[in-house]
Amino acid sequence: MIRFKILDNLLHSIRHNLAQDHAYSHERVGFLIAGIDIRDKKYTVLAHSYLPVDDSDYHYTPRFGATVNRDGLFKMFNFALKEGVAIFHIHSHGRTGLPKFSAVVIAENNRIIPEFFKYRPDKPHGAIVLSDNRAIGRIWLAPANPPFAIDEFHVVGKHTYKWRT
Amino acid sequence: MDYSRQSYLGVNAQQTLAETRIGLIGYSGGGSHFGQQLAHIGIGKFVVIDPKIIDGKHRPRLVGSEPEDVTRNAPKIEIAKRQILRGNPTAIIETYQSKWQSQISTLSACDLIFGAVDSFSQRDELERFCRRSFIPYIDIGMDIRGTSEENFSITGQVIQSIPGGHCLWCCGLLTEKKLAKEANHYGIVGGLPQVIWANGLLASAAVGFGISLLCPWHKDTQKFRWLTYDGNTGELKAPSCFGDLISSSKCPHHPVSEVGNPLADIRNHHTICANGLA
Repeated sequence: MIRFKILDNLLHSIRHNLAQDHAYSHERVGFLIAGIDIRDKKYTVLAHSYLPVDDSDYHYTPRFGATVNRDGLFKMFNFALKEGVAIFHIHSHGRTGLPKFSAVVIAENNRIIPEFFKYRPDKPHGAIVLSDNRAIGRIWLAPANPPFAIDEFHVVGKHTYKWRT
Repeated sequence: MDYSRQSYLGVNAQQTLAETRIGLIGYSGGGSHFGQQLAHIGIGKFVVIDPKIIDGKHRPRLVGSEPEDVTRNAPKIEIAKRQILRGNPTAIIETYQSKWQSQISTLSACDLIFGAVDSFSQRDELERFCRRSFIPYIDIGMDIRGTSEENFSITGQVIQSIPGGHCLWCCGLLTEKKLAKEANHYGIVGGLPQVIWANGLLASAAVGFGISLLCPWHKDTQKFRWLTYDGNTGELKAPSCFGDLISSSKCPHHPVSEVGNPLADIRNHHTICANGLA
Protein backbone atom coordinates (compact mmCIF):
# COMPACT_ATOMS: atom_id res chain seq x y z
CA MET A 1 0.00 0.00 0.00
CA ILE A 2 1.45 3.34 -1.04
CA ARG A 3 -0.29 6.51 0.03
CA PHE A 4 0.63 9.99 -1.19
CA LYS A 5 -0.40 13.05 0.84
CA ILE A 6 -0.16 16.69 -0.10
CA LEU A 7 -1.48 19.94 1.39
CA ASP A 8 -4.22 21.66 -0.60
CA ASN A 9 -2.53 25.06 -0.84
CA LEU A 10 0.70 23.46 -2.03
CA LEU A 11 -1.15 21.52 -4.73
CA HIS A 12 -2.93 24.69 -5.79
CA SER A 13 0.32 26.63 -6.12
CA ILE A 14 1.94 23.79 -8.08
CA ARG A 15 -0.93 23.71 -10.57
CA HIS A 16 -0.63 27.47 -10.93
CA ASN A 17 3.12 27.29 -11.55
CA LEU A 18 2.87 24.44 -14.04
CA ALA A 19 0.22 26.32 -16.01
CA GLN A 20 2.55 29.25 -16.75
CA ASP A 21 3.92 29.58 -20.29
CA HIS A 22 7.60 29.10 -20.97
CA ALA A 23 9.63 30.79 -23.70
CA TYR A 24 10.47 27.55 -25.55
CA SER A 25 9.41 24.57 -23.47
CA HIS A 26 5.98 23.18 -24.34
CA GLU A 27 5.18 22.62 -20.68
CA ARG A 28 6.64 23.12 -17.24
CA VAL A 29 7.84 20.56 -14.75
CA GLY A 30 8.92 20.75 -11.13
CA PHE A 31 10.00 18.65 -8.19
CA LEU A 32 8.11 17.85 -5.04
CA ILE A 33 9.96 17.53 -1.76
CA ALA A 34 8.57 14.92 0.59
CA GLY A 35 9.03 13.16 3.89
CA ILE A 36 8.32 9.47 4.20
CA ASP A 37 6.76 7.19 6.77
CA ILE A 38 6.90 3.41 6.62
CA ARG A 39 4.73 1.25 8.87
CA ASP A 40 3.65 -2.37 8.48
CA LYS A 41 4.57 -2.49 4.77
CA LYS A 42 2.55 0.67 4.21
CA TYR A 43 4.38 3.63 2.72
CA THR A 44 3.18 7.18 3.16
CA VAL A 45 4.74 9.97 1.15
CA LEU A 46 4.15 13.42 2.67
CA ALA A 47 4.81 16.10 0.07
CA HIS A 48 5.48 19.43 1.78
CA SER A 49 7.36 21.70 -0.63
CA TYR A 50 7.80 22.39 -4.31
CA LEU A 51 10.81 23.40 -6.32
CA PRO A 52 9.92 24.68 -9.78
CA VAL A 53 12.51 24.21 -12.50
CA ASP A 54 14.19 27.53 -13.27
CA ASP A 55 13.35 28.98 -16.68
CA SER A 56 16.98 28.64 -17.77
CA ASP A 57 17.12 24.97 -16.78
CA TYR A 58 14.85 23.67 -19.54
CA HIS A 59 16.43 21.89 -22.44
CA TYR A 60 14.88 22.51 -25.83
CA THR A 61 13.87 19.32 -27.55
CA PRO A 62 11.00 18.94 -29.98
CA ARG A 63 10.45 15.31 -28.93
CA PHE A 64 9.42 16.01 -25.34
CA GLY A 65 6.98 18.47 -23.81
CA ALA A 66 9.66 19.53 -21.35
CA THR A 67 13.02 18.23 -20.31
CA VAL A 68 15.28 19.47 -17.55
CA ASN A 69 18.93 20.05 -18.41
CA ARG A 70 21.85 18.75 -16.34
CA ASP A 71 22.12 21.98 -14.33
CA GLY A 72 18.48 21.69 -13.32
CA LEU A 73 18.84 18.05 -12.39
CA PHE A 74 22.01 18.63 -10.37
CA LYS A 75 20.22 21.28 -8.34
CA MET A 76 17.63 18.66 -7.40
CA PHE A 77 20.23 15.94 -6.76
CA ASN A 78 22.11 18.28 -4.43
CA PHE A 79 18.92 19.32 -2.69
CA ALA A 80 18.02 15.67 -2.04
CA LEU A 81 21.54 15.02 -0.77
CA LYS A 82 21.63 18.00 1.58
CA GLU A 83 18.09 17.88 2.91
CA GLY A 84 17.64 14.11 3.17
CA VAL A 85 14.29 14.08 1.42
CA ALA A 86 12.35 12.10 -1.16
CA ILE A 87 12.03 13.82 -4.54
CA PHE A 88 9.15 13.48 -7.00
CA HIS A 89 9.20 14.78 -10.54
CA ILE A 90 5.84 16.43 -11.26
CA HIS A 91 4.08 17.83 -14.31
CA SER A 92 0.49 18.32 -15.44
CA HIS A 93 -1.52 17.07 -18.35
CA GLY A 94 -4.41 19.42 -17.60
CA ARG A 95 -7.98 18.23 -18.26
CA THR A 96 -9.89 16.38 -15.53
CA GLY A 97 -10.05 12.79 -14.33
CA LEU A 98 -7.21 10.36 -13.75
CA PRO A 99 -4.28 11.23 -16.03
CA LYS A 100 -1.91 8.68 -17.58
CA PHE A 101 1.82 8.46 -17.94
CA SER A 102 2.74 8.72 -21.61
CA ALA A 103 5.34 6.36 -23.04
CA VAL A 104 7.71 9.30 -23.47
CA VAL A 105 7.33 10.35 -19.82
CA ILE A 106 7.80 6.78 -18.61
CA ALA A 107 11.03 6.52 -20.57
CA GLU A 108 12.26 9.88 -19.26
CA ASN A 109 11.32 9.00 -15.65
CA ASN A 110 13.03 5.61 -15.94
CA ARG A 111 16.19 7.43 -16.91
CA ILE A 112 16.08 10.22 -14.31
CA ILE A 113 14.47 8.90 -11.13
CA PRO A 114 16.95 6.08 -10.37
CA GLU A 115 19.69 8.73 -10.52
CA PHE A 116 18.36 10.24 -7.29
CA PHE A 117 19.35 7.10 -5.41
CA LYS A 118 23.01 7.91 -6.05
CA TYR A 119 22.52 11.01 -3.93
CA ARG A 120 19.86 9.88 -1.48
CA PRO A 121 19.69 6.06 -1.41
CA ASP A 122 17.75 5.94 1.88
CA LYS A 123 14.61 7.62 0.50
CA PRO A 124 12.17 6.57 -2.20
CA HIS A 125 11.80 8.79 -5.25
CA GLY A 126 9.20 9.00 -7.96
CA ALA A 127 7.05 10.86 -10.44
CA ILE A 128 3.59 12.38 -10.39
CA VAL A 129 1.30 13.39 -13.23
CA LEU A 130 -1.46 15.85 -12.40
CA SER A 131 -4.72 16.59 -14.08
CA ASP A 132 -6.77 19.59 -12.99
CA ASN A 133 -8.50 17.52 -10.29
CA ARG A 134 -6.66 14.22 -9.91
CA ALA A 135 -3.18 12.72 -10.04
CA ILE A 136 -1.40 9.43 -10.48
CA GLY A 137 2.12 8.48 -9.56
CA ARG A 138 4.90 5.94 -9.56
CA ILE A 139 7.43 5.37 -6.80
CA TRP A 140 10.81 3.70 -6.87
CA LEU A 141 11.77 1.94 -3.65
CA ALA A 142 15.13 0.85 -5.04
CA PRO A 143 16.94 2.04 -8.17
CA ALA A 144 17.31 -1.38 -9.77
CA ASN A 145 13.71 -2.47 -9.24
CA PRO A 146 10.71 -1.40 -11.29
CA PRO A 147 8.52 1.30 -9.72
CA PHE A 148 5.20 0.73 -7.98
CA ALA A 149 2.01 2.62 -8.71
CA ILE A 150 0.85 4.96 -5.94
CA ASP A 151 -2.41 3.46 -4.67
CA GLU A 152 -4.07 6.39 -2.98
CA PHE A 153 -3.82 10.18 -3.07
CA HIS A 154 -4.88 12.41 -0.16
CA VAL A 155 -5.29 16.16 -0.37
CA VAL A 156 -5.30 17.69 3.12
CA GLY A 157 -6.71 21.11 3.89
CA LYS A 158 -9.95 23.03 4.22
CA HIS A 159 -11.37 20.38 1.92
CA THR A 160 -9.77 17.05 2.72
CA TYR A 161 -10.35 14.34 0.13
CA LYS A 162 -8.76 11.29 -1.42
CA TRP A 163 -8.99 9.02 -4.42
CA ARG A 164 -7.67 5.64 -5.45
CA THR A 165 -5.81 5.21 -8.69
CA MET B 1 -30.56 4.42 5.66
CA ASP B 2 -32.19 7.37 3.93
CA TYR B 3 -29.73 10.26 3.97
CA SER B 4 -31.83 12.55 1.76
CA ARG B 5 -32.08 15.27 4.41
CA GLN B 6 -28.31 15.72 4.36
CA SER B 7 -28.05 15.63 0.58
CA TYR B 8 -26.88 19.26 0.61
CA LEU B 9 -23.49 17.84 1.62
CA GLY B 10 -22.92 16.88 -2.00
CA VAL B 11 -23.82 14.33 -4.65
CA ASN B 12 -21.14 11.89 -3.54
CA ALA B 13 -21.15 12.87 0.12
CA GLN B 14 -22.44 9.57 1.49
CA GLN B 15 -19.87 7.61 -0.45
CA THR B 16 -17.16 9.97 0.82
CA LEU B 17 -18.35 9.59 4.40
CA ALA B 18 -18.66 5.81 4.07
CA GLU B 19 -15.04 5.61 2.86
CA THR B 20 -13.72 7.94 5.55
CA ARG B 21 -11.73 6.47 8.39
CA ILE B 22 -11.96 8.45 11.59
CA GLY B 23 -9.89 8.10 14.72
CA LEU B 24 -11.57 8.73 18.07
CA ILE B 25 -9.10 9.22 20.88
CA GLY B 26 -10.84 8.93 24.22
CA TYR B 27 -14.35 7.53 24.41
CA SER B 28 -16.07 9.12 27.34
CA GLY B 29 -17.83 12.45 27.80
CA GLY B 30 -16.74 13.93 24.47
CA GLY B 31 -15.79 10.83 22.51
CA SER B 32 -19.15 9.11 22.97
CA HIS B 33 -20.92 12.06 21.33
CA PHE B 34 -18.45 11.86 18.44
CA GLY B 35 -19.15 8.16 17.95
CA GLN B 36 -22.90 8.56 18.07
CA GLN B 37 -23.13 11.50 15.66
CA LEU B 38 -20.51 10.34 13.20
CA ALA B 39 -22.15 6.92 12.97
CA HIS B 40 -25.56 8.41 12.32
CA ILE B 41 -24.26 10.73 9.63
CA GLY B 42 -22.75 7.76 7.79
CA ILE B 43 -19.04 7.58 8.58
CA GLY B 44 -18.04 4.07 7.55
CA LYS B 45 -14.75 3.37 9.31
CA PHE B 46 -13.74 4.01 12.89
CA VAL B 47 -10.66 3.52 15.00
CA VAL B 48 -11.63 3.93 18.67
CA ILE B 49 -8.97 4.01 21.33
CA ASP B 50 -9.51 4.22 25.08
CA PRO B 51 -7.62 2.28 27.72
CA LYS B 52 -10.23 2.47 30.46
CA ILE B 53 -13.19 0.47 31.67
CA ILE B 54 -16.38 2.26 32.61
CA ASP B 55 -17.16 3.03 36.23
CA GLY B 56 -20.09 4.70 37.88
CA LYS B 57 -18.57 8.17 37.54
CA HIS B 58 -18.53 7.86 33.74
CA ARG B 59 -22.19 6.91 33.40
CA PRO B 60 -23.71 10.42 33.70
CA ARG B 61 -21.88 11.60 30.59
CA LEU B 62 -20.98 8.55 28.50
CA VAL B 63 -23.65 8.46 25.80
CA GLY B 64 -24.81 4.93 25.06
CA SER B 65 -23.65 3.44 28.34
CA GLU B 66 -26.01 1.23 30.34
CA PRO B 67 -26.13 0.33 34.05
CA GLU B 68 -25.02 -3.22 33.26
CA ASP B 69 -21.84 -1.90 31.68
CA VAL B 70 -20.71 -0.72 35.09
CA THR B 71 -21.69 -4.00 36.75
CA ARG B 72 -19.66 -6.04 34.32
CA ASN B 73 -16.71 -3.61 34.13
CA ALA B 74 -17.12 -3.11 30.39
CA PRO B 75 -14.25 -1.51 28.49
CA LYS B 76 -15.32 1.84 27.04
CA ILE B 77 -14.37 0.63 23.59
CA GLU B 78 -17.05 -2.07 23.84
CA ILE B 79 -19.65 0.59 24.51
CA ALA B 80 -18.24 2.55 21.59
CA LYS B 81 -18.64 -0.37 19.22
CA ARG B 82 -22.19 -1.03 20.32
CA GLN B 83 -23.18 2.62 20.06
CA ILE B 84 -21.58 3.17 16.65
CA LEU B 85 -23.21 0.05 15.22
CA ARG B 86 -26.59 1.27 16.42
CA GLY B 87 -26.07 4.42 14.35
CA ASN B 88 -24.46 2.73 11.37
CA PRO B 89 -24.83 -1.07 11.28
CA THR B 90 -22.42 -1.35 8.35
CA ALA B 91 -19.59 0.58 10.01
CA ILE B 92 -16.20 -1.09 10.24
CA ILE B 93 -14.86 -0.47 13.73
CA GLU B 94 -11.42 -1.15 15.08
CA THR B 95 -11.16 -0.81 18.83
CA TYR B 96 -8.10 -0.74 21.03
CA GLN B 97 -8.11 -0.82 24.80
CA SER B 98 -4.75 0.87 25.07
CA LYS B 99 -3.05 4.21 24.99
CA TRP B 100 -3.27 5.81 21.56
CA GLN B 101 0.51 6.00 21.44
CA SER B 102 0.52 2.19 21.13
CA GLN B 103 -1.57 2.32 17.92
CA ILE B 104 0.39 4.77 15.81
CA SER B 105 0.44 2.53 12.77
CA THR B 106 -3.34 2.14 12.77
CA LEU B 107 -3.94 5.82 13.46
CA SER B 108 -1.64 6.93 10.68
CA ALA B 109 -4.16 5.50 8.19
CA CYS B 110 -6.97 7.72 9.52
CA ASP B 111 -8.31 10.59 7.42
CA LEU B 112 -9.31 12.68 10.41
CA ILE B 113 -8.79 12.40 14.16
CA PHE B 114 -11.02 13.68 16.94
CA GLY B 115 -9.46 14.09 20.34
CA ALA B 116 -11.26 14.21 23.66
CA VAL B 117 -8.34 13.73 25.99
CA ASP B 118 -7.84 14.86 29.55
CA SER B 119 -4.47 16.58 29.55
CA PHE B 120 -2.50 19.27 27.79
CA SER B 121 0.44 16.94 27.29
CA GLN B 122 -1.80 14.42 25.48
CA ARG B 123 -3.14 17.19 23.24
CA ASP B 124 0.39 18.31 22.47
CA GLU B 125 1.51 14.79 21.56
CA LEU B 126 -1.60 14.07 19.54
CA GLU B 127 -1.36 17.28 17.55
CA ARG B 128 2.34 16.66 16.85
CA PHE B 129 1.53 13.18 15.57
CA CYS B 130 -1.26 14.52 13.35
CA ARG B 131 0.94 17.25 11.95
CA ARG B 132 3.73 14.82 11.11
CA SER B 133 1.20 12.51 9.42
CA PHE B 134 -0.78 15.22 7.56
CA ILE B 135 -3.98 14.33 9.40
CA PRO B 136 -6.48 17.04 10.39
CA TYR B 137 -7.02 17.06 14.15
CA ILE B 138 -10.08 18.36 15.97
CA ASP B 139 -9.81 18.84 19.70
CA ILE B 140 -12.41 19.52 22.34
CA GLY B 141 -12.02 20.14 26.03
CA MET B 142 -13.82 21.67 28.94
CA ASP B 143 -13.21 22.79 32.45
CA ILE B 144 -15.37 23.62 35.48
CA ARG B 145 -13.92 25.75 38.21
CA GLY B 146 -15.27 27.26 41.39
CA THR B 147 -15.20 31.05 41.28
CA SER B 148 -16.56 31.50 44.78
CA GLU B 149 -18.25 29.33 47.36
CA GLU B 150 -21.44 28.82 45.39
CA ASN B 151 -20.43 29.84 41.89
CA PHE B 152 -18.86 27.76 39.18
CA SER B 153 -17.61 28.67 35.74
CA ILE B 154 -17.91 26.25 32.80
CA THR B 155 -15.55 26.89 29.92
CA GLY B 156 -14.45 24.89 26.92
CA GLN B 157 -13.02 24.97 23.44
CA VAL B 158 -13.27 23.38 20.01
CA ILE B 159 -10.18 23.68 17.83
CA GLN B 160 -9.52 22.45 14.32
CA SER B 161 -5.82 22.06 13.60
CA ILE B 162 -4.75 21.31 10.05
CA PRO B 163 -1.16 20.91 8.82
CA GLY B 164 0.00 24.20 7.38
CA GLY B 165 -2.40 26.21 9.53
CA HIS B 166 -2.26 27.56 13.06
CA CYS B 167 -2.17 25.19 15.98
CA LEU B 168 -3.05 24.63 19.63
CA TRP B 169 0.11 26.53 20.60
CA CYS B 170 -0.70 29.47 18.34
CA CYS B 171 -4.01 30.11 20.11
CA GLY B 172 -2.55 29.63 23.57
CA LEU B 173 -4.42 26.47 24.52
CA LEU B 174 -0.99 24.94 24.94
CA THR B 175 1.77 26.85 26.71
CA GLU B 176 4.97 25.79 28.42
CA LYS B 177 3.52 27.09 31.69
CA LYS B 178 0.39 24.93 31.41
CA LEU B 179 2.41 21.84 30.54
CA ALA B 180 4.81 22.44 33.40
CA LYS B 181 1.97 22.99 35.87
CA GLU B 182 0.25 19.85 34.67
CA ALA B 183 3.46 17.84 34.92
CA ASN B 184 3.99 18.99 38.51
CA HIS B 185 0.51 17.89 39.47
CA TYR B 186 0.63 14.62 37.56
CA GLY B 187 -1.14 11.86 39.46
CA ILE B 188 -2.83 14.05 42.05
CA VAL B 189 -5.40 15.82 39.88
CA GLY B 190 -8.23 13.42 40.61
CA GLY B 191 -11.50 13.28 38.67
CA LEU B 192 -12.06 16.34 36.51
CA PRO B 193 -15.56 17.82 36.65
CA GLN B 194 -17.55 17.16 33.45
CA VAL B 195 -21.16 17.49 32.37
CA ILE B 196 -22.99 15.89 29.49
CA TRP B 197 -24.58 18.99 27.99
CA ALA B 198 -21.33 20.90 27.67
CA ASN B 199 -19.57 17.85 26.25
CA GLY B 200 -22.41 17.36 23.79
CA LEU B 201 -22.39 20.96 22.63
CA LEU B 202 -18.63 21.01 22.09
CA ALA B 203 -18.65 17.61 20.38
CA SER B 204 -21.49 18.67 18.07
CA ALA B 205 -19.56 21.75 16.98
CA ALA B 206 -16.50 19.57 16.40
CA VAL B 207 -18.47 17.10 14.28
CA GLY B 208 -19.67 20.07 12.21
CA PHE B 209 -16.05 21.11 11.65
CA GLY B 210 -15.13 17.58 10.63
CA ILE B 211 -17.97 17.14 8.18
CA SER B 212 -17.23 20.51 6.60
CA LEU B 213 -13.68 19.31 5.95
CA LEU B 214 -14.90 16.16 4.22
CA CYS B 215 -18.02 17.49 2.49
CA PRO B 216 -17.75 21.29 2.44
CA TRP B 217 -21.15 22.86 1.94
CA HIS B 218 -19.80 26.42 1.81
CA LYS B 219 -16.52 28.05 0.91
CA ASP B 220 -16.22 30.44 3.82
CA THR B 221 -14.02 28.23 5.98
CA GLN B 222 -10.59 28.54 7.52
CA LYS B 223 -7.85 26.00 7.99
CA PHE B 224 -7.65 26.91 11.64
CA ARG B 225 -10.94 27.08 13.49
CA TRP B 226 -11.36 27.93 17.13
CA LEU B 227 -14.47 28.31 19.23
CA THR B 228 -14.58 29.05 22.93
CA TYR B 229 -17.47 28.08 25.15
CA ASP B 230 -18.85 29.96 28.10
CA GLY B 231 -21.12 27.47 29.80
CA ASN B 232 -22.55 30.10 32.10
CA THR B 233 -23.87 32.36 29.32
CA GLY B 234 -24.31 29.47 26.88
CA GLU B 235 -22.19 31.21 24.24
CA LEU B 236 -20.05 29.25 21.80
CA LYS B 237 -18.15 31.66 19.57
CA ALA B 238 -14.84 32.54 17.98
CA PRO B 239 -12.79 34.55 20.48
CA SER B 240 -12.20 38.23 19.76
CA CYS B 241 -8.53 37.62 18.95
CA PHE B 242 -9.34 34.98 16.30
CA GLY B 243 -9.24 37.39 13.36
CA ASP B 244 -5.83 38.76 14.38
CA LEU B 245 -4.48 35.26 14.83
CA ILE B 246 -5.44 33.88 11.42
CA SER B 247 -4.20 37.00 9.66
CA SER B 248 -0.86 36.72 11.44
CA SER B 249 2.18 34.95 10.06
CA LYS B 250 2.33 31.20 9.67
CA CYS B 251 2.41 28.74 12.55
CA PRO B 252 5.96 28.77 13.92
CA HIS B 253 5.45 25.64 16.01
CA HIS B 254 4.92 23.00 13.33
CA PRO B 255 6.86 23.69 10.11
CA VAL B 256 5.27 21.72 7.26
CA SER B 257 8.66 20.23 6.43
CA GLU B 258 8.64 18.34 9.75
CA VAL B 259 6.73 15.33 8.46
CA GLY B 260 7.02 11.58 8.43
CA ASN B 261 9.92 9.80 10.00
CA PRO B 262 13.23 11.48 9.10
CA LEU B 263 15.06 8.30 10.07
CA ALA B 264 13.02 6.07 7.73
CA ASP B 265 15.46 4.23 5.49
CA ILE B 266 14.05 2.55 2.42
CA ARG B 267 17.04 0.19 2.28
CA ASN B 268 15.73 -1.58 5.37
CA HIS B 269 12.79 -2.67 3.24
CA HIS B 270 14.65 -4.19 0.31
CA THR B 271 12.92 -7.52 0.83
CA ILE B 272 9.62 -5.79 0.25
CA CYS B 273 10.99 -4.08 -2.82
CA ALA B 274 12.11 -7.36 -4.29
CA ASN B 275 9.00 -9.33 -3.45
CA GLY B 276 6.37 -6.70 -4.03
CA LEU B 277 4.18 -4.89 -1.56
CA ALA B 278 1.71 -6.64 0.68
